[in-house]
Amino acid sequence: MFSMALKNFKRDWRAGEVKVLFFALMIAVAAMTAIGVITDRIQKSMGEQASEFLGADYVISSPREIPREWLHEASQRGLDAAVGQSVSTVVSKGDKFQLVSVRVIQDKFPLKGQLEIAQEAFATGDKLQGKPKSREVWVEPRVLSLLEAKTGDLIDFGATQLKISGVVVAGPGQASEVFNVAPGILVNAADLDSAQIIQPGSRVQNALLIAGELAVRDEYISWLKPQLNDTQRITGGKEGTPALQASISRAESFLRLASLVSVILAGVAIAVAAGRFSRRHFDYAAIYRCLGMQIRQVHQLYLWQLSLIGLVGVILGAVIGLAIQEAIIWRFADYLPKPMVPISWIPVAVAALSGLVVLIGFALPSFFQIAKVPPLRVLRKELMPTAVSGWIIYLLAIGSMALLMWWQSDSWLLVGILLVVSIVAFLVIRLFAWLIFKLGIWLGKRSPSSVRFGLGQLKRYPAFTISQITAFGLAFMIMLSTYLIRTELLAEWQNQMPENAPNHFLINVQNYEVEALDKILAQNNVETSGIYPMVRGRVTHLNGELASDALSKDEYQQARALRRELNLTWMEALPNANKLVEGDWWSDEATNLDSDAVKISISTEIQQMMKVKIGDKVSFDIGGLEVEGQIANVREIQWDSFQPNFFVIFEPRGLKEFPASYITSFHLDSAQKPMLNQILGQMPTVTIIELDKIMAQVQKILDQVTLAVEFIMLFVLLAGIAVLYAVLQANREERVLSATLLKTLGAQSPYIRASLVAELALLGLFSGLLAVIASEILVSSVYTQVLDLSIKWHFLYWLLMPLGSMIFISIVGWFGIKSILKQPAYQVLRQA
Amino acid sequence: MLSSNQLTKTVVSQEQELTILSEVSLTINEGDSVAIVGASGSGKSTLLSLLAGLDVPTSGEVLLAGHKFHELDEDQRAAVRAQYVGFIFQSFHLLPGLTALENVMLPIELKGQKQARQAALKILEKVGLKDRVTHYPNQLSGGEQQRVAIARAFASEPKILFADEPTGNLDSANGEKIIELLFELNQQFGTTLVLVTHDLKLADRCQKQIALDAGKIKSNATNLESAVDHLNDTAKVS
Repeated sequence: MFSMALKNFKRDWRAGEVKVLFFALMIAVAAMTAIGVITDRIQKSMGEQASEFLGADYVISSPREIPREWLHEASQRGLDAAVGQSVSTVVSKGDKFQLVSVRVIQDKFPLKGQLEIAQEAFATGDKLQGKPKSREVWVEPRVLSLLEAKTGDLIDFGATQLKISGVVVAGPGQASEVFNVAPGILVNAADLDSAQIIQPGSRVQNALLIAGELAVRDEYISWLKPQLNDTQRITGGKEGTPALQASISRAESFLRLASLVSVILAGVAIAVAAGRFSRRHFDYAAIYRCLGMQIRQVHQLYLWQLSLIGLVGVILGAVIGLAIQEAIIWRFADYLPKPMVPISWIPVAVAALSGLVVLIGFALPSFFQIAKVPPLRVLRKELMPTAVSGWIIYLLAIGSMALLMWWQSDSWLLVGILLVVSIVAFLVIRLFAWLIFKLGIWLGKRSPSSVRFGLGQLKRYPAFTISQITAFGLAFMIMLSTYLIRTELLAEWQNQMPENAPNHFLINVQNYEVEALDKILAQNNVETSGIYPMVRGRVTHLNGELASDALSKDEYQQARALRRELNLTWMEALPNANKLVEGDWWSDEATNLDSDAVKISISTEIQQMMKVKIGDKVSFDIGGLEVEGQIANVREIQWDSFQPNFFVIFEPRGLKEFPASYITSFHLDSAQKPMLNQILGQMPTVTIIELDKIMAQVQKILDQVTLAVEFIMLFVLLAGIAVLYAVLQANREERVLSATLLKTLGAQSPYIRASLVAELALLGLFSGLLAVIASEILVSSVYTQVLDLSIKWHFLYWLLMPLGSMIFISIVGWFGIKSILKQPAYQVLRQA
Repeated sequence: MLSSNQLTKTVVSQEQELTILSEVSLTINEGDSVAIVGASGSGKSTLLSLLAGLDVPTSGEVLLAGHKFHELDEDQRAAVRAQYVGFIFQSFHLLPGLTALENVMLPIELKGQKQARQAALKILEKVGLKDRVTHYPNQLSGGEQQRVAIARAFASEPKILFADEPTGNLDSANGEKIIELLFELNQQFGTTLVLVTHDLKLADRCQKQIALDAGKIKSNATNLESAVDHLNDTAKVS
């Protein structure tokens, strides 16, 4: 049976019988392979880049000394490993004292990425991995201004003196420690003992830095994890850049959904093409049956054929997908993270498997039907096989779609929502198709005769016509919606990272310095995003109970924000980049709150950490004073907004009495950097956080994501075209036959052409209209529900879509039929 | 070899019951050649399909080589067909994806016989298509296609051969050649032949003629005259 299937497959291949089926499957697999592999590679490479922010792939931190065997084991496995310590101490020069956080380097730092060491603040320096020489120190720029020192000066470091031999202008750790108040210095481990800064009771953090091959380091981490105690923590590369996560994950979900859309479109194309294939094979099956082949054998024959189509389609699709992603990576090498990690076979396998699932889900019912053809069909051509139960067809298709969605989203809830939405959407769209069709018929009554003939053709099989309009409309709708959402998404990213997004933060600005700061900023034409007051406080009680008692031990361990000082602020109005998700902003009418309580607003992160709800009371210790606030609302913070964001915001009266420092952010070009020296010169205690390098990185990643979004569009378009082509192909025979009949009855070519084109154009017009209506509804709901944008109408597309669809369907449909019309009528009729 | 007893086929069309075949009883002995004649719509093809087990009767019995077709399911009937039955159709029904040789090999393989290739080549040589064995159906003329179909029908050496208007799609010259070939092979293999035809010349070559009218056997003649009479009658009636 297999050799026969192989023969048939070869023949169908030559005759182009499986062309559309094949094309659709290939697109599905190629799209999934290319997207899967490329997102996987970009993601991992970005992970690598993120590691550069961290200084290593993993950092294992521990209050106690790192066991030597951990280091040994890492070296054994061929990993790059280094240990270091960090400790806080005070350094001084003359009468200037400053608390600094000291990074003690034993081997070298960083393992990933580089330090940039310059000779003065805000200048360009040398990029390197290493450590200062013994008796030397590298310092962050603000240490210089705080100590009024310059490179070459000696500073007191515990019991010893170190020479400032470099200024750290860029290096790992900056992104994750944005609000680390104490400025940093880097010293050689050899100087630690003579400095005698570590005394019993000193809070020392020991760190083990690990870098190396992905698989090896992951194995190492799984080896290490069981040995960690509560106080030891692993930080992975990705956690190094929290600001990027939101953008990347949003882009990722768009990509995954878009690839899913292209797969579903391909699935529809496969279903239509498989339907056609099976109809064209009813005669064959009837002969097989007539010659004595059993149903089981016919099933086997066609299942083998389907497997062959699947095998070849999946392999070719995967190869094409890999080639495309390689071409993209090569073509856009400049925009992509470097170095690119090698291809992982998991996404390829997932794509191949998904392709098979699509093929089975959408083509199997049609293939299964073939064997059920009654053998009597050899004598009575009108006999059809008993239709496969609609339930089975829909269950298979929906089941396979659900499986794919789950693969892509990993959330059954999302799958459920998507499925329900799709089914409702499908029904609504069919209803629209019916309405448009009826309206078209009513309007078309007074049109020229060829148009009326075209309409007549469509009217003859209304159910079939409505199915065609639905299929075309759906394909166009998905293409148009994806295009519109993509455009909006890209525009949103551009807005999110406008050219002048704040890239510098100033913190620790004192009340009396605000005026002087304003002046400097004004002199340099620098605009801020506002100057916010900030008070540091620690959460002590939840609803009157000690926070450590109110939460379980695990919860308390997880809630890192509870164990350190938080930046608290007060504000009159809800800040930008914050969205209320629960409760009201300072409203006196809230009945569930105590009227005299100080109202506070918390972020969703804090809500989850502290397991609190609106109306709960949280107490803070601010400089030894106790303040209690009642939660009035919960905010969702857009962390990638690059504005000062706060976990906890008080209503103005709540904190006004406390001495506050101020925080602000602004955009600076590299040419304006010297202004920072001016600020530090006048107000040395101000802390400057430079985010420009990270932001350039974010911009670069957004560019990469944009690129990925653009190219997924290509697949959606290709899959859409596959659907359109498959549907046109499926009805080609009927069109050829009716045109030939017209010819036999004496109609001349221009009339036939006009009526055929009219039929196709009307189909195009109806489905184009359907597509634009459905797209507007879909896109509006995505805008409002997902992207937080207001509804926009796309009037231009009300013209373009029906027009484009008319032209496309007419041209493609006409070219499919044209050559046949040239054949003598009797030949066509005989074949029919 | 083949017999039917009170064979009746009714179908429901537009909520009306339509009797296509009514209580047809006949017996065909091994080696017989029988022509089923009748006007269009008289039930010839339905009778053929029931006798060959392609369809099931509403009531009545069909016995082929001792197998009670009316008691068998689809697959069991298919197995009987593979074992005993050959077909020739008006529109040839060759599988377009297979070469002439592969088309002829198919029933031999389905019957589970070895040496399918040699047997197929041998019979193709007999029908005069030795040089065209690797051609696909669409590369052959109508007459050649029907010869391949005949070769296919005889290839598995069936006990009984059903032919449905075997010359219906051919011009008279080709038709005659095909008739010659059919009877020549029939004689050679000793096959029982049941054919449905409009062609009186063809019917005349058979030992026995069964004339159908409105689903009933009008005459079960062994000579052409009565059959012709019958056909003329039906022509007048219709």
